[in-house]
Amino acid sequence: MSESNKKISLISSEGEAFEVSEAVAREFEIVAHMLEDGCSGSSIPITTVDSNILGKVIEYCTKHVEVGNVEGNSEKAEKDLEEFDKRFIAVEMNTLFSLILAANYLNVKGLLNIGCQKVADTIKDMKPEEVRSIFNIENDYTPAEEEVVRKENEWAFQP
Amino acid sequence: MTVSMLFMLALFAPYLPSWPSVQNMRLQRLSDATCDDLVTFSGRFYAIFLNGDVFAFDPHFLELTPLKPLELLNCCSCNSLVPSGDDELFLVEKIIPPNGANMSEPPSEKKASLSLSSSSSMVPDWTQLPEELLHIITEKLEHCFNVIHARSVCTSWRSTFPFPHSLLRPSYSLPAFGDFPYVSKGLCTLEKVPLFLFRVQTPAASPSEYFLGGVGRDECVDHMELQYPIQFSVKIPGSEPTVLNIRNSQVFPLGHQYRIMGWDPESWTTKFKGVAFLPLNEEGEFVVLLNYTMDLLVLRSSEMRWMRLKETSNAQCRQLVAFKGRFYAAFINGDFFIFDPYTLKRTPFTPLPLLRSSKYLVQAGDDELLLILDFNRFTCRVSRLDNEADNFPMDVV
Repeated sequence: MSESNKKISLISSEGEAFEVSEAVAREFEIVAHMLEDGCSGSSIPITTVDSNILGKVIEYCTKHVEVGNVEGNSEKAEKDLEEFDKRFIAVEMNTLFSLILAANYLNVKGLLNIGCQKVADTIKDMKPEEVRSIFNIENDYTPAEEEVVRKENEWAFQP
Repeated sequence: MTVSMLFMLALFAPYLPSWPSVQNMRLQRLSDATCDDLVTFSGRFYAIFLNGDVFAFDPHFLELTPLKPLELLNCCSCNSLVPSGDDELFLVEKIIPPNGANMSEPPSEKKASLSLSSSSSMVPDWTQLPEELLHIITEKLEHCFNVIHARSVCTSWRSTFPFPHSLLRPSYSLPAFGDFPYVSKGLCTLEKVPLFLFRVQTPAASPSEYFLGGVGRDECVDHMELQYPIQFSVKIPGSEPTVLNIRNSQVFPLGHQYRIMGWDPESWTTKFKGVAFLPLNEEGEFVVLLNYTMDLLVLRSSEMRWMRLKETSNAQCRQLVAFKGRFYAAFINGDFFIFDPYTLKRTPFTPLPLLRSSKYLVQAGDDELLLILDFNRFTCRVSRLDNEADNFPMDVV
């Protein structure tokens, strides 16, 4: 248990320190690599991620480490984790954007996965203009291009 | 929805010259969702909808301006617009914890000042998402029609999300076979058609309606009506044309089917009973097996000539499929052969004790081949091909 007792400080872009166990810090692959490369310092600056997002990423990793440590991973634990993921990623779009970028930078695969899934789920079942308004994307098609796009959306069933 | 729409119309009425234009505006420009809250502020109307849309309406010019709400309001929250004095408008989001959440936490209220300018530095630019992340997102889009949707959003997404390969319909020009054994100078077209099962969503109590078949671009010039906004649609021809879209139907991609254009294997009047196609190599060479009259005809791309397959059953072929690099053919006398695409040699196989039944081969996706024995109209026996043992040992149903 000595490893999990070791604490590491992750420093956000605002300079705020988050103290976490080494096991949690290792969930950030970028940090895991640093540790393996012999970076022995107990505080690691994460300069591109702000406190709000870093806190969330740590919350995600902590939960996953906790569940991973339980002996004989039961179905119930897996289900709970799924529920946790679902609630965790039900955030507004700005936060989702930052979380995905942070997960990509820090290389937290599970979080990147559920973040991208959330984006895909949002795109699914939506009209393009609704996607634009949710993601704050401008329609930059010229009328001629838009006609091509429109054609691409018109299909016919051929039994 | 009706109630809230009426409410909105009532508010608009004093400013409008006539009702018809109200109707137009409602149909074309308002949000699809129910209006959650409606207020007046600084000489304009502001409306927030359940799906997170926020619009400002100019009462004089009847212009509708979509506003970017600061957040996507998730479905378990109630939203209201609260003017504070004459200068500030607040968007209040009351978050109700989802079922099973810790109920001891009181519902929290978040207040955000609604940004009235069209852009805000706080809003991330989703078009700037790194390309590798967009690729991960595409993989999670489930089926190709969702990719078509994503491509329609903006030019940068269009260039990042490639047109779905599975929707392309490669076609081959082959010599016509109608006069076989005489050689014809005419041509026929073999086309690879993507197959889909569509399930139309119906009110809860009624049974769902299913459509199974291929899809292709709608080449019909006189469109029923111009669609605004752009929305993916599949038109089902018929006396009452139905239009499917991603909202009113579930889509299950089922792989592909090769078809000879202009020939319907289901028709009683045709001698053409189906076709199967197998690629031979990376260079694009292929073999086509055709079930025509009493014969199986074969064509190799290197020769481009139909020939009668000599080694086959005495009986007529009932069904022909290509599966995992080999042809499978079931005959009406119960014979069952596998044909190698290179040698065209047959391998007989007795799949199951011969029973008085009709046999159908059904390919389920790319990985499964099912043999369906139809004993009578209501009893079927379904077995799955065991690829290594070359038999159908497993009864599925």
